[in-house]
Amino acid sequence: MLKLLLKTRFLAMIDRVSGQNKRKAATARKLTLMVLGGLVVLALIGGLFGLLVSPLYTGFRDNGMTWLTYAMAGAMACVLSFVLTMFYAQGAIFEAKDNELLLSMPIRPSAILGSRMGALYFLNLLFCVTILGAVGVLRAMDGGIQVLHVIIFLVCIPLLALIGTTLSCLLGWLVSLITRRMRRKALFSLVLSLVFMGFYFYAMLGLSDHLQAILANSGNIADAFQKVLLPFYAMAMAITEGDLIQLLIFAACCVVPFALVYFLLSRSFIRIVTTKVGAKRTEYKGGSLKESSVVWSLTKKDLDRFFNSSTYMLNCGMGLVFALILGIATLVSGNALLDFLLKTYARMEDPGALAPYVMPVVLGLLAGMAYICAPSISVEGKNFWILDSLPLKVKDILKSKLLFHLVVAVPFSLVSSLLVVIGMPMTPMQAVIMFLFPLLAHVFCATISMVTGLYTAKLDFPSEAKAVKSSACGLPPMLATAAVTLTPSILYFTTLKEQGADFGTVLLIAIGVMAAVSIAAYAFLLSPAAEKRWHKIRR
Amino acid sequence: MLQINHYTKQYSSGGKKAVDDLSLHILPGEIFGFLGHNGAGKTTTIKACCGILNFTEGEILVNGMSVKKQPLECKKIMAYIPDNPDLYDFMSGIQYLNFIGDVYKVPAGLREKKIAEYSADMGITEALADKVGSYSHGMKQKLAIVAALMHEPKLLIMDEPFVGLDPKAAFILKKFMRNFCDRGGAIFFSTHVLEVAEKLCDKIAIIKEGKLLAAGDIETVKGNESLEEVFLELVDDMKVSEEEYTAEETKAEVKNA
Repeated sequence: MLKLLLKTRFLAMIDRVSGQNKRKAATARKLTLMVLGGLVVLALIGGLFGLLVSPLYTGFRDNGMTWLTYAMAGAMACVLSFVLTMFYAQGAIFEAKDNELLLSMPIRPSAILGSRMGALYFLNLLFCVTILGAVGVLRAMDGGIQVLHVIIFLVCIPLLALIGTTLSCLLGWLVSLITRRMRRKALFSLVLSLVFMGFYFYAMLGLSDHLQAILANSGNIADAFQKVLLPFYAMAMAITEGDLIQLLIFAACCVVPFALVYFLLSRSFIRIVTTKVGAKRTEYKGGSLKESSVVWSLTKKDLDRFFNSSTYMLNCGMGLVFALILGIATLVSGNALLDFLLKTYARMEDPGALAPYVMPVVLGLLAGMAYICAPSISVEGKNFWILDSLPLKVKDILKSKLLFHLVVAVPFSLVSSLLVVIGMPMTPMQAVIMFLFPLLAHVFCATISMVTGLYTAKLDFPSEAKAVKSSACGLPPMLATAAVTLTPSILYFTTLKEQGADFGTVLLIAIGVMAAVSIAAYAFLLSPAAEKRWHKIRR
Repeated sequence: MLQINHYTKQYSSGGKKAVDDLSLHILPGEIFGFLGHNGAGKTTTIKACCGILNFTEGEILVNGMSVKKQPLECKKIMAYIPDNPDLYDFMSGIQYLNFIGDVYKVPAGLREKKIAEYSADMGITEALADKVGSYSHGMKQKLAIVAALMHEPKLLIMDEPFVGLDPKAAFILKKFMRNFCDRGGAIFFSTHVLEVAEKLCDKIAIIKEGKLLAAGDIETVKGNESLEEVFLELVDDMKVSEEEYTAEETKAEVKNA
């Protein structure tokens, strides 16, 4: 039974990854390509991680502490896997739609839980293979490894994945428990995701400093691993020294908590998944209702949907969050941050004078990451009949979706620009460009998103998340916005600068181009051609 | 009020016709029941009447206006309730009703009055502040019914409206349907509940595999038989004869004894 359930889980995972529609099953050829593609991606991630930890590995090896690289990689693999699979655990184990259906069948709850944890374990195993495998390759490149060490290394990887699985299950259960009575589940998930992402970016941005600090304090870190993070110390010692006792200790540290969590959850599985607490109910007490225009009413509907979906906000609103962070960072650090970025990544020797022009371009680029209205037709999905059966003009629907995009994006754009203008010294003209360029980039992105959304709309996505994540709708506006915001800079630095052109004038021309394209796209959206396209979506 | 003339729907060119040359005429004041087995073409026809689904041949007129040529004008005077009301889960019940009020431009005072009246009838007033996503199937159905009635349509088109309703709500809906038609409105609805059709409808139509088998006044269609018998005779090829049924029943009784 467990085998059958596991097979079902893996088929569901394949279906999620392959993006197949309901009517077609993934063919063997497509599956093979998918597996190969997945392996290539994992190898690339592993390769990047290997490059990243390579100096650390060399430093530790030279100090006779190779084991510390394994211990740190093990800890990182666990943290990464549990953070990335926590929400999966919440949805796939504790809030799965088919829990009650399976429980009504003659299947032991432990088998249902086992199959779900099995799928989760598989995902964690992939992370562990990628991260630990990279360190293994670095070690192998040094040569002189014994067979016993290789065997222990291969045994340690599947054991390590148990730690991530145990943590994901516990945290997923906790999140499920906390959000059960919440009215604003989406906001909680969003905040939690942003916190994790914040930590991630903090760690990545200061990586070179962290590595130096780690190398300088390797003695203290080694002590910490021995005293506090015993499982990783044991694993590292087992791999590097071929110590079988340490391997047993590590195995016990992985298997015992996993078995304990599995035992406890399987005993209370029925209670956990069938206790319907539900959100706190509010009794309707009447009150006056406000009339709105048709377009604004439709816009409010889309705003409600957006702010009630953490997936929608995270996937289509990240550009806005980044822009705000950039604005705050500029307000706090003035030119310093941009100077550092330009010196480090663009290799500019004296970016100071150009900074006020580069910032609007960066904010414009980020506008492309906020393709908010692109999936707005696809997310209608099962609700499409409502728009279809009501006496609504297609142009009003499209106008409302465009307005929805701008209502979300424009305040972020204005606030980000304002923060930059306050934080960075600039002339009045530069300040005008600072406001206009990102703003027009948002308008451009909105109109292109709407046109793309109209042509890529599909109403049979199995979930809203899948409709939002569909790259078919998000990629074109992102690329188009990147092209229209970056091209002036490229032209300026490659040819126009030498001809004595002013960067500000170039950006003003770009603003004009964005406005012209946006007007053309808007005119198309109001045309009979767009209406015809809309009717084709459902027929 | 609703005139379906030679309506034909073919999903793919050269493929099987989902509905073939269907003609029906629903007058003001009539409750018209649309019967047929699963997959007979009822929902396809209903969706075409609402302007949701395009059709291959024929014409559908609402109050003399073509659904194809004047869809907005037609939609303004009709309301549609689907069999599976997938409403906006992220909205509260009252937000959804207010949204519908905005679309139909129902004045605020009037929409408050209508919402209070109809939601009380359906027993959902207290739940209006909750998210639609937390509603049961029946509650969603009731909300869809309240939303459909807010702008006082002349024509109501309903697909399996009694599915998921509790007995009280079903009773209220039946009473409402009668009153609605007595005031000059027209109702075209599909149902599998033959008892409801028999008691409630003025006229019925029975289709099988997209073709009309019978249509007309309920008394004319069923004659001296029950609607169930007529329906099974017309639609069900595997109708169990009375003798066979009695023999099976006797066998079962002997076995139990």
